[in-house]
Amino acid sequence: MNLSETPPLVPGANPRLSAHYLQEAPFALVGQRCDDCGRTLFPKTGICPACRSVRLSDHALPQEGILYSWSVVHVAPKPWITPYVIGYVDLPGDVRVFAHIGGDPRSLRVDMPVRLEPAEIGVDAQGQPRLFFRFVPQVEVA
Amino acid sequence: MRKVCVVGTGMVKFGKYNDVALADIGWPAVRQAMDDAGMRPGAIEAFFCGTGLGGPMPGQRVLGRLGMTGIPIINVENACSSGSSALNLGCMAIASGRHDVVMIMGVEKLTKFNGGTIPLEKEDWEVSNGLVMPALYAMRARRYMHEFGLTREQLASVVVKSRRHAALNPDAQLQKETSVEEVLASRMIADPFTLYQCCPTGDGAAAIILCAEDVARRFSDKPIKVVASHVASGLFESGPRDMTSPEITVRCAREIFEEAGIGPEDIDVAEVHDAFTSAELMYYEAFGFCGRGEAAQLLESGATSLGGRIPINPSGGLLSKGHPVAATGAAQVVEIVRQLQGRCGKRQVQGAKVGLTHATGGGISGFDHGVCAIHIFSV
Repeated sequence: MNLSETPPLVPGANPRLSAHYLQEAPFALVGQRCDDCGRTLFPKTGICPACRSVRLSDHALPQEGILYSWSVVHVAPKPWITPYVIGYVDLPGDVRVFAHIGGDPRSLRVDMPVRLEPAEIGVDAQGQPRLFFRFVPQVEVA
Repeated sequence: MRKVCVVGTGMVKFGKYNDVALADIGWPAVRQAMDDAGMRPGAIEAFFCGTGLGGPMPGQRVLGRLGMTGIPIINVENACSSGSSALNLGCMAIASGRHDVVMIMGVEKLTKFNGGTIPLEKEDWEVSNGLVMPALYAMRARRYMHEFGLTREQLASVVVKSRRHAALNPDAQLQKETSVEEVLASRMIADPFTLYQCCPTGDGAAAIILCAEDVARRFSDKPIKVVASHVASGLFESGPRDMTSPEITVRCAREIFEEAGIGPEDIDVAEVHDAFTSAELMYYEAFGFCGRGEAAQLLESGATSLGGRIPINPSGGLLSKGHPVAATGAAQVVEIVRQLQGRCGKRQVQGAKVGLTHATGGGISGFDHGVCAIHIFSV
């Protein structure tokens, strides 16, 4: 590789330094899709781990997915307030998202459909509640 | 490549040593290993020291106490496999011919974090958003329970077996026998895991002296051969992955059995990374000690208990010994080497000739586990 082709460092790819993983209207998670191989990534990585391309475009993820597994956390370091529920949600497009899970924990089931919603989760650098996201069981349509 | 042998082992019982510095937790293990090999300090040509969270230059701090400095010291961080990764480097240093005698150790002082779950890297996406290790294993366990019908009682019975073994091990942190009811009644940590189903943390150290096979008899009447030493890293995956089977351990086990020219049926005793109850069960399957979904039955059959076909974690494992990150993998090796030397007293696996150790670590996004180190030993 010619050194002049070395891509610049991408601070925006570090999700802790960037608010760009949330889209407001409609509310959605924003990851990246590789322009070269089509791999979907969340959170953003700035480089495609499948093909090493740096040609990635922002990509809003589907809001509905399937709950792969979850756990109710009763012991966690500060500043987390227990109990809280975390899980892995599989979204269409071959992407798994780590997320907080809302709703009554007793109602959760493996492989149940869940949907995205905005939620205050954790705190920001100033210790203030942070607008984040979570998945909740999909409400049955009557 | 030259053959490698273990000729000395040392261990400091894992526990809560708030008032003892890391260096002072470490040096007694080194001295015990030196005494075990009847070795003078000048014989050690290089030192590989694993620590996960012990800070900079743990090897220099430990050997400084003993005046054994000046030799090459390489400090190794590889999460929960730090000690066993140091062992891998030590084996290569002997096998390559670079050194004839080296020492490796794992040393850790977790009480400095004042309890709680093992600290993880805050820069990581999942960690910064609330992931803790018990919950990661708990999510694997829940999925496994869903797919294979594993029950909470079966999970708890892993602890019952662990404590039964630990009761025979003076080096175990938790030596009191327990029951399924008592395990399930302990407080919830990360559902479905109650407290007893999570390994305690703590402080500790273990040290191992390696040498070339042709000089081993100078230091030990019962040198133990390192049959194979293997380290694998996890595969980054942004999409779905099967969390009911530890891919990294399945792969690392397959590779080391191939390298050693043996299979799971040849193993007489094993120490596996039972950080949480479900992990031990999944490793039965990953190593091929039983088929997929059959782990609970293997446990219930007694095959993995002392006196069974393939005793697993005769020391009590992480669940009863505790898990001072880097010291864990090195202490597993101390146990297996002493088992093969017939020095384990009431918990001795009779006639054990081939043993295995397995330490795996993780806690970063995109990886099921970050690292896995497996070693096979024989008389």
